[in-house]
Amino acid sequence: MTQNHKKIKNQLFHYILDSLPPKRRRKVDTHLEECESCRREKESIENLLNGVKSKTGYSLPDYAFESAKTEMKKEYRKTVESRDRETFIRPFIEKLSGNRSIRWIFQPAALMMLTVLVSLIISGVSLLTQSNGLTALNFPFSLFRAFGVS
Amino acid sequence: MTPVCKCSMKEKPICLDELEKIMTETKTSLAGFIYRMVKQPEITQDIFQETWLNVVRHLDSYDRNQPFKPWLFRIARNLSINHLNRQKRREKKEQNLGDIYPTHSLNPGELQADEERLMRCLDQIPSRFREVIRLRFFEEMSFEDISTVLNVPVGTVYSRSNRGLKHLRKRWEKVR
Repeated sequence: MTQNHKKIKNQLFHYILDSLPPKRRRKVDTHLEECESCRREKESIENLLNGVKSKTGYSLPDYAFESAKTEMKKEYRKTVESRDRETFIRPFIEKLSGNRSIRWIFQPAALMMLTVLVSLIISGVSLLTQSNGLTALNFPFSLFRAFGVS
Repeated sequence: MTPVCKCSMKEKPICLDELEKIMTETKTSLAGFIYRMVKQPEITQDIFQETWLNVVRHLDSYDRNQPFKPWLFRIARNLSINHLNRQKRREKKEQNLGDIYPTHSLNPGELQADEERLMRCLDQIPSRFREVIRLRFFEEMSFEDISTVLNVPVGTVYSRSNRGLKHLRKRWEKVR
């Protein structure tokens, strides 16, 4: 009994902090029901811990909390919202591709489209100049003439 | 605590309203947690603010399927440890110069004799065990949440808690 008594007392901290396996916890529960000395010991430790807990807490002053909140909001706008604004086209691409992993395809695709467009314009202009007997030198003047600038 | 934010897409970070709500809800426990580590009110206020700035800066790395509180406390813990390490280095430097930096205690006047003895016992046990006991008792965290805060496996948290409590009991028996 004394051995058991000592064993239980040794486990009281574990018991109070809910760190005992269920089987051992049940054993302590049964013992506490029977033994008043251990029960009193448990209560005294519990009261002590609760006293320490309540007295070592810290209530943040309102001004500090409000200041932290304001700074947090500023930071949120700076980082999250500005990033969202910068990448406003991203949701469109995401929707189009559906898959995050193939999104990289869209950048070279856009570049290729731009290249094709530019080459089409250049070839169109060169065709026009050739058919009208124009050269690179007199082409700008013919353009001015076309718009009525003498 | 997992944020339930209906206004944002799954892969988008938590919205500002939700963050403000969590900030208000965790105000006391987070401030208490930081204070118990750094033991200085002004530093607590600074670290509290810095924690929330870091939360916003690293929102992308937060996994929305995981509870928010352990992640938040992990940031606060890292900042507090950084501060304590800096302070230790500074104290060492000042000691070398012959100036001894004042040591801080946690509301020494308010605690009763027994409570202060217990607090001292808790302060004396190795920090890796003390941390687990503090999170378990003061913040009432589960072992799983503590493992997220400390970035160690749950089994390690169990064993640290066990060993920490043994240390605490032995010290307590000596002083009472």
